[in-house]
Amino acid sequence: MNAGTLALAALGLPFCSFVLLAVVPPLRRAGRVAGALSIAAIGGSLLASLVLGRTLPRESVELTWPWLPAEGGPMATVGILVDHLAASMLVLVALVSFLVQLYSLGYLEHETPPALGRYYAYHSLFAFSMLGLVLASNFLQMFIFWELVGLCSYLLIGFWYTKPEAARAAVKAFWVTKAGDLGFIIGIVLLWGQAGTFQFSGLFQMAADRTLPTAGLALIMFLIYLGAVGKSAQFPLHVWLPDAMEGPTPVSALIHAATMVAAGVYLVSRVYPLFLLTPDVLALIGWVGAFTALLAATLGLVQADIKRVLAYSTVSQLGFMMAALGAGAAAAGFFHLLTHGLFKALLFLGAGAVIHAVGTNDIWKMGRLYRAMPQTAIVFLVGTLALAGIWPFAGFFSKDAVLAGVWEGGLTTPFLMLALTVFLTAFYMFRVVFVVFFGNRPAEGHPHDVPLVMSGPLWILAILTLGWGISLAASGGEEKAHGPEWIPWLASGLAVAGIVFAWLTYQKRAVSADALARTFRPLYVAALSKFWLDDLYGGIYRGLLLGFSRLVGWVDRYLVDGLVNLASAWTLRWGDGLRRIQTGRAQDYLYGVAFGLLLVIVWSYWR
Amino acid sequence: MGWNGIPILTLITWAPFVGAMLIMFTARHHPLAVRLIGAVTTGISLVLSLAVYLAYDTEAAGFQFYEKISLVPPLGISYEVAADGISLILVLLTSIIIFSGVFASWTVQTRSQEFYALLLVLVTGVFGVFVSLDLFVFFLFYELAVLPMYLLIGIWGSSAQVRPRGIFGWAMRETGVGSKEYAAMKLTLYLLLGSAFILVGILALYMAAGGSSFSFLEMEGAAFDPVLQRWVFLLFYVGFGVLAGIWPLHTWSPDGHASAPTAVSMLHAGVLMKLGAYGIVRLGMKLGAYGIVRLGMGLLPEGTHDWVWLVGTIATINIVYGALSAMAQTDLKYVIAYSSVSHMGIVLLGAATLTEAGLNGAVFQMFAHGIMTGLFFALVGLVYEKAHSREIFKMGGFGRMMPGIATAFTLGGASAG
Repeated sequence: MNAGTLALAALGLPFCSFVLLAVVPPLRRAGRVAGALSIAAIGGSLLASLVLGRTLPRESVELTWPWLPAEGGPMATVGILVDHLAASMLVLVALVSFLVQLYSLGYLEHETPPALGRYYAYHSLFAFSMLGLVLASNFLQMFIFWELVGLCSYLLIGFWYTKPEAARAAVKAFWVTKAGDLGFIIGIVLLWGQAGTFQFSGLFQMAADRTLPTAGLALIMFLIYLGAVGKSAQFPLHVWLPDAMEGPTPVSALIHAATMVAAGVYLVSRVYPLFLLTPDVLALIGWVGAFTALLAATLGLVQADIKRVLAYSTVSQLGFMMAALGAGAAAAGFFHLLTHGLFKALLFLGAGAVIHAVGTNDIWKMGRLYRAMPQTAIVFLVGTLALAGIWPFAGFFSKDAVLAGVWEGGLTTPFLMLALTVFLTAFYMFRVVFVVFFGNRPAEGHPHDVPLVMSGPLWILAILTLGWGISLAASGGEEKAHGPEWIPWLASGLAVAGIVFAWLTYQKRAVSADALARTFRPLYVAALSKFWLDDLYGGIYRGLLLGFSRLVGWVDRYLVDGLVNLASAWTLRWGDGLRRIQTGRAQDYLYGVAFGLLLVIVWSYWR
Repeated sequence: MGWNGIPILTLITWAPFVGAMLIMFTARHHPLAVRLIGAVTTGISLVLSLAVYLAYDTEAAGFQFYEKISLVPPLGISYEVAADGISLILVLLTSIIIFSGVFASWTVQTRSQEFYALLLVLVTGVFGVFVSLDLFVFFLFYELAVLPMYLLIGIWGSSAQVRPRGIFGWAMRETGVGSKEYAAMKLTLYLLLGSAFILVGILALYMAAGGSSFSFLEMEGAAFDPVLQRWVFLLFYVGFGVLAGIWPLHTWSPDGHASAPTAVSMLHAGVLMKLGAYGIVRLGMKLGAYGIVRLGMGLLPEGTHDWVWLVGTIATINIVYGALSAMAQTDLKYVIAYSSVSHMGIVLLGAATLTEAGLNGAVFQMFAHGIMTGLFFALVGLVYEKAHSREIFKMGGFGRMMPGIATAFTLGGASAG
């Protein structure tokens, strides 16, 4: 089979599964059967993507069909574009989706069959949308799939919709990303106005030939970047991601760690040739990315909910990727996306195993879990080491590449922010590890290790994380990084320092956590209240948007419609007034006739 | 004639009317028979409109399934029907909505035979407008679609809670704002005001074209004076615009939608507002001048061209203003009604681009919005039957209690978004 067919197969299988689950209720209500169907479909997609990744020709493959008709040829097309970028992303998405769906069978074993069927229907739709986003060959199609993954995210965060927090978090995630999407669609349309096409290949060609009008291009690319800001949870639109943790943990692993949140990074990588034309926007992307990384790391320090720690670490790592893209190191950023997708999914699924066993998200109610759950402890440690960037885990190489790229790109201050973030990342992640798996107090209840259907995906991800790293180390590993020699040493040193510091604080108790909090009191308070961004947005929403809509609603009801009623009331009054001359008495009418006659006579004489 | 000799558009149009007659003359005091007649006759329309949709030759395009019967030869009035790409979709939309509407009104208790008869007559009017090529008959159908509304809302409607306030508070109190009679009267007066404009416009064209024929096809051949075009387009825009809910002539629509019974709301927002947009596009705009000869539509190319800025501006106001107003509402039906105002703005904005893509988008939006609004109003009807309230802040937990309704509502919302 050729590349196009394989890509279409990978895209089509989850779609068929979704349609079947959506329109055949008995199948959906069967629960586990629905799960099996969905898993089989995404397994097929995984297989197709793997074969595609192996057999991909050097140059990209593009298939297009005409879509929106207009005078002088179709206005937009639908199609798929497969190149190495898309193929790598395809494998990552299909792999993580497959493992997460498998894992969910164990994690959601206590759900009722209809709920489980619904869960898998959403999952199939998500897999289809995400793969469609990856394969999209033009902006318009990408936007459609972009919105579809947003919808799936909404549906899956709100999977436990009877929980008010989950329902609210779902709406929040939807709205905050929508705010970014608004910029995205305006950017797309403006770009179309400039270039006359939505097609990536056409746009790249124009960018290469320097025929793309550059007037206003910076604004356009900034608007498109706004879409990525929302989706990839960059400052200041990162507020939705931590709340999205209200969804089931496998969903967080898939959508809010490995795939959908990476879509923004993927978007910037996908249209990188266009971003290269606007260096100012790229620099902004780099700065915002680094700032996001640092900000989210400080927020991650103070969370007590294990999933929220991971959520802030995701925001922080997405900042890393964006910083690399902004500094011109697109390959490094995308490389970090891939490794991060693996180990962050691993961490989330590991956290899910812990939550499944202990029944709470609060790390202070956990402790010494390495005794009860040795397997989970090992894989979680693998993920944490990879995230901290320790040799020879995959995260070490990608983080190194990012740091080198940012340094080479000349963004010195962002580089320093990222270096500090490396230290903080190691610290807050090992804080979790020490408190949850080691620590002094044992956890409540009787935790136990997870069944094979859940531990299997964990081990696969752990082996991939480690194996990929080792293979990179064996092959020299430095092919991706071109920075100075000292960067890997600096990064490793900072990470180790973070680990040691966390060990001193939370294991040895040599350093008091309370004393730390007192020392950095302003920062601590600010981080606890999430830098008041949520309150600010709440205020803007309630004060400005709702206030304005109330004003318009009032104007419509009481002024615009008031005028209508005024006309009608006047008509009624005039009618009522005129009615009074019809008294019903014959003599009044006779007077009228006589008076009229008189007037006519007088008038004819005067004339 | 028709399609393979079958007058298919006539059948679609008049089947509900026959149903109404059957209900009035045979099914009195047999509620089930009333509903079955309604279901069968609208079902016939639905099946036939699907057939028409499938049989339409998209390669040839233009008007197809042509039928003509001369009515008043001296004045050039004839019963002349045909369907092109736009009317085709709208006929299909109408038949889907009315077929579902028949089932959505299954629980109407009071005087159900009159209710169903009026509903079916109204639908005949709607079908007639979409397929008529003779402007005189077009206008008759248009009136037929508007008038039963008054009775349907005034008798079977429900009253809403509106507090008279503001500087015009006294006027609102005096007119009895919020009651169903108020809503019915407001809607009828507004729409009849609109028809007055339309009638003047049609007669002006008739006279200017020589006074020999009301046929759209013959008028299309006539070249009208640009000044006349400008004025007549404005007449059509205001006249049909009232029905399409253009700002600031839209305030009848939230009140009307909110007070109307379920099926009428569905038909009203789903189809009737489309009548307005259809009228503007069909009679007003001539897209041929801008590259789409094969659509062969519109009588007033220059008039359109002169006023398109106005259409576009008002449409944009509609979109934003309608959406903001919808956000401020607490009554579920008002929310949906204002969202219709907003969506009609999108339709008119699409048409105002005067491009093929824009027009396609407008027609598609009409269909999509018709289906989704119909769904919304049907669901609100169900919710009201179960919860006895339409105040959104008094609701909650529907996902647990009525998962089916909640799912359908989410689907509709996803479509709207």
